[in-house]
Amino acid sequence: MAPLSGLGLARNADLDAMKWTPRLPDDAVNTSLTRLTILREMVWLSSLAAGLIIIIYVGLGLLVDAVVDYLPDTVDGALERVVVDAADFGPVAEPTLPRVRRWQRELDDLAAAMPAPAPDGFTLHLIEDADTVNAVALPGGHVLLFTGLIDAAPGVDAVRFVLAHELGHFANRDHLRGLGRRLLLALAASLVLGSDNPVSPLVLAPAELLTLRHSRDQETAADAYAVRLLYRAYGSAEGAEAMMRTLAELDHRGTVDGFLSTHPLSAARAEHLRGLIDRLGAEPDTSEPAAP
Amino acid sequence: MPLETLFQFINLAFIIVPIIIGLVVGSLVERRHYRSIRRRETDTMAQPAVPLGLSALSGVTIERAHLVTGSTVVAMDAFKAVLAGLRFLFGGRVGGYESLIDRARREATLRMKVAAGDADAILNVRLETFAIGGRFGGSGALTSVEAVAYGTAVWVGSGPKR
Amino acid sequence: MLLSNLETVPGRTVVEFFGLVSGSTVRAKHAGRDIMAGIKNIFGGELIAYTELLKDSRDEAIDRMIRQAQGMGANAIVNIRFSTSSVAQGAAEIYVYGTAVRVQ
Repeated sequence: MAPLSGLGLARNADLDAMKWTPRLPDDAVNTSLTRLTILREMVWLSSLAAGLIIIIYVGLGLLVDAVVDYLPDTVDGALERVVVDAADFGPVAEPTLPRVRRWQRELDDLAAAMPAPAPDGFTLHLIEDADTVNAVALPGGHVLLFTGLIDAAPGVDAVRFVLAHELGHFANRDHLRGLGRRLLLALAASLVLGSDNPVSPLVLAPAELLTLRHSRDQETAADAYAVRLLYRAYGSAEGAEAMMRTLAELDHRGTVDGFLSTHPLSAARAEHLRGLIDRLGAEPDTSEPAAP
Repeated sequence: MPLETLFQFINLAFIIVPIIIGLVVGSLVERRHYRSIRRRETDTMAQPAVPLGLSALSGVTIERAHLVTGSTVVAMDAFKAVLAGLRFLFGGRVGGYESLIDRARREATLRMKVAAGDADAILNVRLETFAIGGRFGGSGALTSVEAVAYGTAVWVGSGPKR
Repeated sequence: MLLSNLETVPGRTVVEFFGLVSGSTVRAKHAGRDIMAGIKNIFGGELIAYTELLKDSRDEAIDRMIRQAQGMGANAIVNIRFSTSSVAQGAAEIYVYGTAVRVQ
């Protein structure tokens, strides 16, 4: 700002007499960011943050994977109280009781064939929902089976594969793994960033995508476990491929969807299962299937 | 699940779209505000507003004086909020906040001058700022800032005292 | 540059007034320092990292104010005031302002 003479600028002649020379200060002094530097700072800081997130995420993943196999059953029990008790399934309605008993028996048969049987057994909950083709494994050995899946399944073999798949999740302790990762990540984010930092959602959303990718690996592992378990229990796993072909027909998803989905694409899964069935079928001596 | 995929996309959009809008619109708004501030500062330059007390006007008769205030609340844009959030992670100068507070203070001072009308000067000027939290809960991230400027507007007499 | 928080610089006569000058800066400490401070809060005592952070900020704010005054042709700043406002958790704003004058 070029120095300006105060003469004639002051409103009152007395102020001129009073040695006033009003001048404007250089206003660029108190702001350090320009339009260019603000963008550069954003790019620089966010790539630094992205690197940090990846390091923390990988580190947490290794930590959870290392710890999850040694977690005592009390952790499972505590999670059961949180998740299952909150859902409050209530008493089973009289008309559906025979169906529940029937699928519970199938589940027990499969559980008996598991290489490392769970002492507390597994509980089946039949959810009356004809539109949902799904099954869920919850902490404490609870398996939710939706009636929509039973209706859509091409046969008893196919439903057995689904049950075996959920048992695979329990055997791999996936229900603890997934919760553990998410919990630790949220904890780390709130510890480092503070509870209401606007950056938190930016950090957690990409991490969520990574979690989804991780979950697809878990699904593939559970599939492999299920095929081995079916061979062990029934000597055949043909239901696995049949179920997957049906699911593939049910959802016509594009390939772009694959990366963002929790489950691998059903058609790809069916191919993978076919390969597994062929390989295990060629060597029928599956008396000791190794847990994945 | 396709539904879950959709939610993920919506989730990301909800985070990223405000940041881009914040960058484009926010910098536009800031530039316009600064232009307006500079123009009005030049226009009102002849009316001094200083932290000094009466010593700034010794030797003149003061005919009239009364308290004048000016205040404003300026909000942060989403882009700068994220940038500041990253700064909290790595430390350093929070540039986004600097211009926000600078704008608020200067706007408050200009409003105080408007309140002073045709006063010859404003003396003993004090500036205060308050952080105002928003929907994020308030304690962690600044969303807007209030600046208050206050001082005593004086009208001097036509002749020297004495 | 003569700095004073009196209305004048003692022993000198103010010959010209220019107007308000100010300097401000907002600094954040990094998350690691924050965690260390949390630990320190258990034992009590001086938070050296914070003391240094605020001192650096204050020095920078004064420096900025002086640059404004130099640009106006002043050789002293009188009636200087500091104000510290906590604009957000983990960041501190230092604001310093005064009146730029020329003294004999």
